[in-house]
Amino acid sequence: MAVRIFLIFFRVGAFTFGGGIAMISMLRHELIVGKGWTNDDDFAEDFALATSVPGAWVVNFALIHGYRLRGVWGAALAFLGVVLPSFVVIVVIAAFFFPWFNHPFAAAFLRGAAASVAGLLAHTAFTMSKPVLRKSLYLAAAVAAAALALIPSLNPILALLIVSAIVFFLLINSKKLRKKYVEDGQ
Amino acid sequence: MTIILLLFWSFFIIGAAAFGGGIVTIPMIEYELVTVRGWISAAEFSELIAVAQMTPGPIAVNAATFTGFRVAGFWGAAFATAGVTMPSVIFCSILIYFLSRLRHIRWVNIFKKSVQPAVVGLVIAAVFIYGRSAVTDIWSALIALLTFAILVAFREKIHPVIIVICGGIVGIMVYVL
Repeated sequence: MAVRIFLIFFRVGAFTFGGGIAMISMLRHELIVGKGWTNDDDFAEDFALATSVPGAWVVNFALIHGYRLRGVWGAALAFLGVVLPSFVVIVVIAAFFFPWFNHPFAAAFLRGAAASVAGLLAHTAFTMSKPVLRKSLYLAAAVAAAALALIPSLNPILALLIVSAIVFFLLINSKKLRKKYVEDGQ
Repeated sequence: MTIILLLFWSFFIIGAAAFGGGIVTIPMIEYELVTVRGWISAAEFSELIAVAQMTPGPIAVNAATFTGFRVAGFWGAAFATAGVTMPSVIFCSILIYFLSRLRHIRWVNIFKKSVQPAVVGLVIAAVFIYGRSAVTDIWSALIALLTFAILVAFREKIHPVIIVICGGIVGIMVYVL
């Protein structure tokens, strides 16, 4: 399993163009759809945790989720897996290929791949929304978080913190809501 | 030697201050590399961001590797990359340590349920933020739409990597040929 953790994060690191957040689609596919190693609850929790600490999102996610899967070794292998591909690719480009990087073929390939990642990301948002948006409180919270995160001058982490805090406050204070949203209703 | 340590330190600061995703980080990287250190020019910086965005991996990590290599060769790249990822290792270790002690407390379970809708909201927002820069004309819109349709039609049986590579090939066909 340890080697497979490395390979999963290596694949995700090697093939996701367009920055950290675009990797969420690949990660979801690898961890939930493909292997069934993780469920939506744990995935969302680690997503939120990775957002709440400094650093590149996907690096944080690899560390936190790798630890969940296989302790310290899981974290170390996931970390190496996600960082190594970009390191190798960039060093090779900087050393040998930089003059050719502006070749029309490369630029066109990357433009098409980026567009495809946009579609992929939309599909991930769509599948992640399905279980959440059926419940009214969750629907309102998701819409509020999305709206806050789209304000350019506002750091998305604030959107996450504000909305989570409000939902947390409501769940802590209402027994009825707890029954509906936290299964055991404690 | 000193330049390599300086690279490590500069990117350590960038990593530690990088809150909330790559797009937020870019102006900060520019300030540190162009204004404070003068390692690269403003024109080189825009080239760097283009490379960092087009190559796989997080933008901050790519920027570190690229700048490190430009300034001090392979070891410069290695130390800059170690610097930018070190804060993640430190902060995540602290987080994991405290969480493992809190797992059994009741309100942690409630907190888990509270973050879910906000996470979905952030992913929805990411679709718009990312889409604005990636979907710029009718062809890119078509590729994005087709990707979405294929994923729905085949119920995620096809690996996303294959679809993204096909998207790139379609890009070559429509933009160059």
